[in-house]
Amino acid sequence: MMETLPMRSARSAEIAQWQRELLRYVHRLTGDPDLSEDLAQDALLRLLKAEGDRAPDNPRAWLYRVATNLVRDHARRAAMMRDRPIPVDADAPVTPAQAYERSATVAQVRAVLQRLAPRDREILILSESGFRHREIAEIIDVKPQSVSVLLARALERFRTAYLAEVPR
Amino acid sequence: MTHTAKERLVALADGELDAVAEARTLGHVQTCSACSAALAEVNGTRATLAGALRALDAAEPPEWATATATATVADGAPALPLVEIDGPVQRAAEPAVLDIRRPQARRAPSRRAPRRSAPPALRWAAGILLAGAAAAAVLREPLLEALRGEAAPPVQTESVAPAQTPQPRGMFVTPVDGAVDIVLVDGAAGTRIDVAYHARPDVLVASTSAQSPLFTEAPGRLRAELAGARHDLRIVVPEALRRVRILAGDEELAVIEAGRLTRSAADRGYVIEAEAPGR
Repeated sequence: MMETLPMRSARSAEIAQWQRELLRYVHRLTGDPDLSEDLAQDALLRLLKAEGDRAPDNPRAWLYRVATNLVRDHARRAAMMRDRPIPVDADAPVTPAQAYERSATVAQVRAVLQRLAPRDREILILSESGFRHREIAEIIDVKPQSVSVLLARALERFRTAYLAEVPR
Repeated sequence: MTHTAKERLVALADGELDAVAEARTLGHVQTCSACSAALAEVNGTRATLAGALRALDAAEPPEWATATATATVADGAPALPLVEIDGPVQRAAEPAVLDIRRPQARRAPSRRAPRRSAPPALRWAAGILLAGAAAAAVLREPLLEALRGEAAPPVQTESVAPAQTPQPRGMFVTPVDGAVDIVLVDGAAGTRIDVAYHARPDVLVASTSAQSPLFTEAPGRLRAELAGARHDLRIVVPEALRRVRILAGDEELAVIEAGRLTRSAADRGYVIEAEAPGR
């Protein structure tokens, strides 16, 4: 609990923004709205707990790192990324957003991402999230000098997969 | 001459090279058609990737975009709508940001333990009020009195006369149970938004704009000084807070209850469109 309103509200504003980012990040990685909410909240809770001991130097990158690891753990446990790409309940009412999710464009993008290795997906999405290379290195736990090499390869694989899924 | 490695082109495109390396790489790329084409390919792939990811974002988890109300302020109408978030409410036991959930009725079977029930109700009268600096004069009783009594002195920021304060001309409201996103559009940079908490520490205010507003605070009051052309001010309220009224002066533009638009003022010069959830 924050002691004073100003501290609390400033902090809360920051957390609300991170939460929105994390929801988008996990959803981009997995395509699973339920999982996005669960993992984003888990990551934020871990941050709040961690800050009781020692605040991370770069909380935003720290959160993405935790979220990335949570997604990896979940994928390992359930083989989610290969076997359960998009949850579909045939009996449930379809919202416009769900209908869109199932539309051709999104299905193609999902198919392209599914062709990539998990680390390629991570590095591509993180790069598009505006992280510097040293931050990406911290989040996915690789050497900073490796990021441009990994990113170049991931971009090339994405390009190949995209051309295969979305022929010109 | 040796061509530039792909990873170096990526580093160049990302601004990750130091000044010397950047100048050297750029110098080569500008004179080498193969490397120039390779750099264009990197940039093209990046643009494709960005577009593909944006397509996914448009289909973000359905519950985040279940209902949308758009209000376009007509000519001659009050320039700045007020947004009043009304009670009754229950105090959130945890920071409210952690309570943002999709509506319980539509929640998929949870993989987690059920949430614990809310603590005994602590009911408050009026909630919070979001108002532009120039609109403060039209706040309604008795909320205004309550605010006057409890709000702190004006925040110490550079003073802008109300008449000169840029104002947003329209708004875009996305109500989700437990959270309300309010996007103010067409306001010039420097527009000031005051949020009076009125003893509501569980109400959170944030911006998801690319250019965050400058937040300045005093006890019970927060001012967001906006930057950029499109302003995204997010107000997060406790899940127990179900009713949101959007007002311009005394005119009720819309009422959102439990995440659904239940009343709108489309016949009074405002265009409000809503997409009902669950269809």
